[in-house]
Formats: sequence, structure tokens, C-alpha cells
Amino acid sequence: MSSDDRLREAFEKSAPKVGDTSRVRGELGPAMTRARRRHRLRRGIAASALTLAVAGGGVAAAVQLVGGGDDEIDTRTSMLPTPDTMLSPSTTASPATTSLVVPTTPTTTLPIATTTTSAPTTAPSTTEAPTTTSTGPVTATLSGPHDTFCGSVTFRVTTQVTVESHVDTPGYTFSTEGEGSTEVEAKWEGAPEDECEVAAHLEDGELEIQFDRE
Amino acid sequence: MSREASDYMDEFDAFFDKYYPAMVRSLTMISGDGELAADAVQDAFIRAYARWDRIRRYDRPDAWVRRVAINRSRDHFRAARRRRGYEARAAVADEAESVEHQTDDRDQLQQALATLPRRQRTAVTLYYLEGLDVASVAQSMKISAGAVKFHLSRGRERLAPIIEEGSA
Repeated sequence: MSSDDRLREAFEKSAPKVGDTSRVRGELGPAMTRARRRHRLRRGIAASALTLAVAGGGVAAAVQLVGGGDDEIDTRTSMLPTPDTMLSPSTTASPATTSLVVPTTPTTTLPIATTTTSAPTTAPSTTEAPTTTSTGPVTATLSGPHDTFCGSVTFRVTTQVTVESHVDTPGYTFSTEGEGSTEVEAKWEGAPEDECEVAAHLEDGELEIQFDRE
Repeated sequence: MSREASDYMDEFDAFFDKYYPAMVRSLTMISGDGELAADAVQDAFIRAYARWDRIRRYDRPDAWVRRVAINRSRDHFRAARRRRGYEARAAVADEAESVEHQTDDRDQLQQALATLPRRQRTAVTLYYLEGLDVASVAQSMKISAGAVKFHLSRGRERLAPIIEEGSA
């Protein structure tokens, strides 16, 4: 038996069994119905709120929906934009960014904090150079409030590439020819406004640096 | 209920029945907390249901749900970590991930898994337990296939001795 097979077998034995799904599905039914209703409602409100947001009259709270699709949902970041953002015509009129405006009346039950679709998990907007392909020395800079950043580095070099991070990540050096990849991972230790710089140097070849925000 | 709505429900139910158990199992292994795993996966399915008219057209709707569930469970631990405060956080910085494994009745594999960085743990679990291929693991974790291979390689290195030991 190969080590892969042994691992599969070990996982299979170790993982808990999950019971009757129809019962769970049944219990979730009401929550699903509510979620669907809210989803429809939000879409309706988002469309009709554009004019209100630009005019800025009679609104007191807003949830910013950043475009990019549901496949980029990141439930970690719930935010209320500043009034300037909320009232900015350029922000609300953009097809990629929509403001959902919710009156702050006592009857408002929309779960503002839990319905926010926010920044993509990959290549956050605060990243200046999330993906870089270069045939020469290249520096990618991350900035923004990252708890942790991860960078995967794919390389095809004919000489040597060194990847360094200015935080607490050790440097990586490759001296082989051919293709491969490695990963840069470091805890974000700086203040939110600090920048983190990851530099990659190579004399020849191609290099791609891709960052994912943890 | 109209015929169309009924078909729609049936389709979602089939999707749920097909993927829910495997996702809960995987996330339990990743998070070390069965209840949290079930909550996170259920929440992800609820979100999927609200957008099902769109998500059903994705190549891999399950990857979307899996990713949301993984994010949800991670959110939970991040919030817990924040609640513990800065000093406690600093003291256990290196063990921060270990909070994800609070069960006492863990077997050898679960204990070994708990020592892996979260991404390695996620990658090996999705690959070996759920049987996803590298591309699907990448899609579910929203990282590159190369990064998945890297995590799998490192994870295998760490887990293999445990498994060998266990089978000896």
C-alpha cells in the first residue's frame, strides 16, 4: 500500500461520520427561505438606492457591496463606509461598487453586519502589485491591514532567484534550472498602515509572484 | 409550488445531500470542532441557497460553498483570538492555530494534523479525505495549484511518519 493510500485510509478512519442529511436540510429550511427573501430584498433595495445615495437625503447608514461576484465573498470584513464614501456619486454609480442604503428606523431588520460582501480574498485592492511577472529584478509591495500574507512564488529560471521578505519570513534561494514553486508566508506584525515588501531578484527567466490575503 | 420552483428545490436538495456530509467531515478535521464545522457548512449552504440561481451555474458550486465554509470557520477562530486580547495572543502566538483543535478525544492523525499550519491542514484534508484533485483543492482554497502542491508535499512529509508509525 502506498503512503498516499495509507493517508487516505487514516483520514477515512479518523474523520467523524455525518448523520442524516435530510433532517439537517429540513431544519435549515426556514433559515434558507429567510436568506433567499433577504437576498431578493437586498437586490431590490440596492438597485433603488442608487439615486438616494447620490442625493444623500434621508439616509443614515450604508452597507457597501463591492463587486466581484459571490465567488469572492469574504465574510471576515464587515464595514460601514464613511459618509464621504457613501455620498460619493463616483462610488455609487460604479458598476463594480454599489451602496445599499438602509434607513435607520427602528423597523429596519436587515442584518447589516452579516450581509456585507467585501473585498476579494485574493489580491486585495490595497495590494499594489498582487501578481507580477517579470524577466528582471522585481519588487512586489503589499500594504494594508493584513493579519497574515501568503505569497506563492512560481519561478522558471535559468540562473538564480532569491525571494526576500522584509518581515519575518526567511529568504528563499533557488539555484536550479527549470520550473518550480515555493511559498512565502509570514505573520503580519506591522501596523495596519505599514507596508510589507517582498522582493524577488532574478537574473534571467520568468517569475510570478502571487499574494493571497489570509 | 410551481414545477420550476420544485425542480429548483430538488436540485438544491440533491446538491446538499451530495456534498454536506463530506464538507462537514473535512471541516471537522480542519477545525477540530465538529459543531463549529457543521455550523459553518450549514451557513455556507444557506448563503448558497439564497444565490442558487447564480451559483448553480458555476462549474463547481461545491467549491464556492466549501470556500465560504472554510472562511466562516476561520472567522470564528479569528474572532475568538481577538477576544482573548493582545497579551494572551502574544503569549500563544505560535500556538494560535491550536485553538482550532480543542477536542480531547483526538486520535493520532488528528493530533498530528493539529500541528500543521492551517493551509497545509486544509490542503491535505481536502485531498486525502474528500478526494479532491489538486485543481479542485486550489479552487476551494482560492490559491494556485502550485501552492496546493507545496502544501500537500509539506503536509505529507509531516504526516507520513505518524502514519508509518501507526501502521507498524
